[in-house]
Amino acid sequence: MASLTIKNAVKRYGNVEVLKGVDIDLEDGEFLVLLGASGCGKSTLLNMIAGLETVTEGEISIGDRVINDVHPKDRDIAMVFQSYALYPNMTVGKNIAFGLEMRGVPKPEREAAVFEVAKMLQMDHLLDRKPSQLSGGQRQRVAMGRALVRRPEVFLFDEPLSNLDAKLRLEMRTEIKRLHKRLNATMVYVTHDQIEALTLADRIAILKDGEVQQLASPAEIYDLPVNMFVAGLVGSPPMNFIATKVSRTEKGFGAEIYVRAHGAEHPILLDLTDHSTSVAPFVGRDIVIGLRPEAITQAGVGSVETQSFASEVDVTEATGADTLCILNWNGKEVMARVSSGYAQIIEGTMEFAVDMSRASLFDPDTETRLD
Amino acid sequence: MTRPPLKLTDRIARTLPQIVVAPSFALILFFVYGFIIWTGYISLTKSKMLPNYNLIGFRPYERLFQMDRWTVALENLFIFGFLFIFVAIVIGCLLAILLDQKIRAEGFIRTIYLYPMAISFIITGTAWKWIMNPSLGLETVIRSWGWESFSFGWTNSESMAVYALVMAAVWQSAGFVMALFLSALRSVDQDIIKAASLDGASPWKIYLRIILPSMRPVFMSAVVILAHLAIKSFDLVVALTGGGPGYSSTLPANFMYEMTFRRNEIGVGAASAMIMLATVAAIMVPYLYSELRGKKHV
Amino acid sequence: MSNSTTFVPAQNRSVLWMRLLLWTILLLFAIWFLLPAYVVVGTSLKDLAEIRGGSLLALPHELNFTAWRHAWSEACIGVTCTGLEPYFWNSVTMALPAVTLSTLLGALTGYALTKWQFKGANLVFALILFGCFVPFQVVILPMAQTLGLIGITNTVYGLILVHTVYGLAFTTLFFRNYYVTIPDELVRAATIDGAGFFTIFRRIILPLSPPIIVVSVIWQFTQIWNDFLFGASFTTGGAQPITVAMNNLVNTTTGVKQYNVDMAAALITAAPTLFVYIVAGRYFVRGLTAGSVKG
Repeated sequence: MASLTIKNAVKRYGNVEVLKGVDIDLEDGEFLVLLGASGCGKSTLLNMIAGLETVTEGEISIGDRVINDVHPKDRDIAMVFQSYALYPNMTVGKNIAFGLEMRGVPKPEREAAVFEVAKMLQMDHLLDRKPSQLSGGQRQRVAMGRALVRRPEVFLFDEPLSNLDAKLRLEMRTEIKRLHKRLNATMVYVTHDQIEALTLADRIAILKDGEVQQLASPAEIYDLPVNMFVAGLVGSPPMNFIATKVSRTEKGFGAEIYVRAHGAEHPILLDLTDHSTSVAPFVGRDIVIGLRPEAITQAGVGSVETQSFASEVDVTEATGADTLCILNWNGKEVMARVSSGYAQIIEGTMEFAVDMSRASLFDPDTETRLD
Repeated sequence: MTRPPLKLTDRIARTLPQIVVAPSFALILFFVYGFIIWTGYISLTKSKMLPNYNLIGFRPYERLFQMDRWTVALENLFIFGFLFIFVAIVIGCLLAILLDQKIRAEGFIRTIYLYPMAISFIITGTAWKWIMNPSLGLETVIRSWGWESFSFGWTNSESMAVYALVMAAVWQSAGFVMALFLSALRSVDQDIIKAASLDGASPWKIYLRIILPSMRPVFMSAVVILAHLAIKSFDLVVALTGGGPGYSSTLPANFMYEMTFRRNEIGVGAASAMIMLATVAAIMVPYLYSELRGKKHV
Repeated sequence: MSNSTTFVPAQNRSVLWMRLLLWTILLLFAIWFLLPAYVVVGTSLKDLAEIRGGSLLALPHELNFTAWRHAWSEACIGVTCTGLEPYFWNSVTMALPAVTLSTLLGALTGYALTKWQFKGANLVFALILFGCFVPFQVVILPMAQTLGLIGITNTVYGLILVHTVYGLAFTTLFFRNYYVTIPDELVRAATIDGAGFFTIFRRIILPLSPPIIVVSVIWQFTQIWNDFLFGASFTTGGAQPITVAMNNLVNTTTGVKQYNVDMAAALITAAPTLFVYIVAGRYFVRGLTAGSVKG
């Protein structure tokens, strides 16, 4: 097993810069997720690590070896592809063994290794089938097996679950997590699914337009997003952004918003005293308050010191455990998350508590976090 | 940190695709593009029986266009090309639409329509020449049935010989056009047809307004391929009419062959070949360009 | 209710008429397409007296294969009276290597162009593609000279070279268009697994290729077997392919015109490609359309 270091990696196609200097340092055994929308450069970066794309500038190393000029087969990596890329003309067993065969591993050893991996993935009964005779989930397992059998230093995953249906995706996600725990291998995983990223990663790197926006643990990404892009990308339903102005209050600082309740607009002063140091320079200026839906909940049950007020509910969406309430603040939709048992809407209005200590504040000009 | 350089074997492996493509590409470069230049050069010389490499400018082209045989060949190409393309597409399209009506034994009928495409134009020409035989052919049979004025001896008539070529060429190619259109008809998105019939469109309307317009690309392909076939037509003329009577049904391809191999007028032959190339290029280059453009490199 | 009861049969009747019209048209065209085949086969089985005395469309009185035997082994082509047999084998020895070579080269080129996109690959492909459409008249003259320089004029080898080169554009197009549909990820996975250019071709791409190989082989075989222009331009006498020999046979005017032998010769010449068409018609159609549904 080995560490993975990416130093100022740049990728250019002609004049188009797809990656604009990426720095990532991965420890041995760490699970990194590259998260971003399509075209952000995450797959390009993965392919550069794999050696399927050349590195225009910068260095990529595995352990203490710079691998820019090392052929993919000599990099000691394995990759799982989105389409699985199983060789259609070979049986499952041959698919898994192919990499070993190419490396000149003798047949008996090969067979033993294939069998071991197949047992680990519970597909030893499928070894003689062709990929076309397998279900989507089984194909996915074969693709994993093909990567596992070589015991590489680094595993690369390119959106491996996006072709599966929702239930299987959940199962395989857990499986991958379990594998990571067991093998304790270095893994790089590309996805556009933020839930996959949050559940799997030790650290997440969020990419946009070829640049890393934030590289941090899932909790930090979720609670302390560095800018509005990250805040909007991670979390479902996404964070509410409320544009307002900072003002001075008796206690410290606040921001006034208009909340519709009982058929009329009411001014409410959101308390920003918890964020005094960051908002002090912004008195009288515009800011954006970011509130996750779970920071706006039913009044009267929170243990934290919170402020509460009435707000009209436009629509409710029951998700089972929670009910999402769509409110109207400053003329914009705002989503609140309420425990199902507590959604008591009387004449279209309900009392909500807001936990301002969990708010993220952003500068509307730069869209970056105020800290 | 160590930074191992690219291994020599890997460096060779990296250029392997180019190395593999090289022989084919070299063959095409030499035998197609090199030869075009070569022919172009000869077309500017006064080569007679053997190539002569002294340039004399465009005189062979002037001589070419002064020759009645060439003018006739060009006129014939125009008539032949236009009628051949038009009739083959009309018949091919008609047959495709008819066959698309859930016909029993469709596969069998299709096989009959398409088999001429498998045989040589030489055979097609020989067969139709026999059918058009003035004393023993179809004409005599039909006349013996009582239609006294029926005339099918086209190959022996200066005015009709070109139409004999059109008839035989359509016979050979209509099935191909049908196959093209049929596969296009079958690939029309069935959801669109369902949506249209839910909107109340009659089957006839669906054909005219939705299916046929969506076949424009196939239509274009058919026109281009048939035009290309028409310009290249050589063997059909040789076998069916021999270019005659006289040179009344000669086509440019036959003219070129005649000049080059029979009449020791290599310079003029090369000039006629260049004109043919220019004609094909005028059709193909815009077509290929529009086909390849917009398609992302894969 | 009474309205609908009169309406439904009326519609049925018009549907019936439409079907009848449709079948009439289809059958008329079928007759048109089959007429030459019927006439050629019929004539080849008649003797000359029957041809002169009877109708073109009449069935032969008996199955008489004399004309076939004559066309195969005795008929005069120019001044040599060997029948078509030697020329048939000329065509076979010309077609088999040319088909094999052009298909193999086309497969490799198509593979390299699609799965190993290098700089200029698209330009290379465009230049090769245009080779499909060049009128051969423009290359005949230099080709004749080149064959002379190499010393293979008037030989089967010369024709093998010609057909390989000019078939290459088509085979490359076939394989390229087919390989474009094979996912690139297969090649990437195999690269990481440690396979190189030729190993990937042999172990992964080639096993997926039988359908397009069949298309390419059939197309090339039909084109090469049916060629007349190259055969007529680069060979004379004993080295001619069968199409040229057949045309000479038909146009040899010594003695009485033997229409039955002419037709038998035409059938013998057409037989191999017709056989391929009947056996593998599906692939034949695919080849025809593949040439047009380009990309």
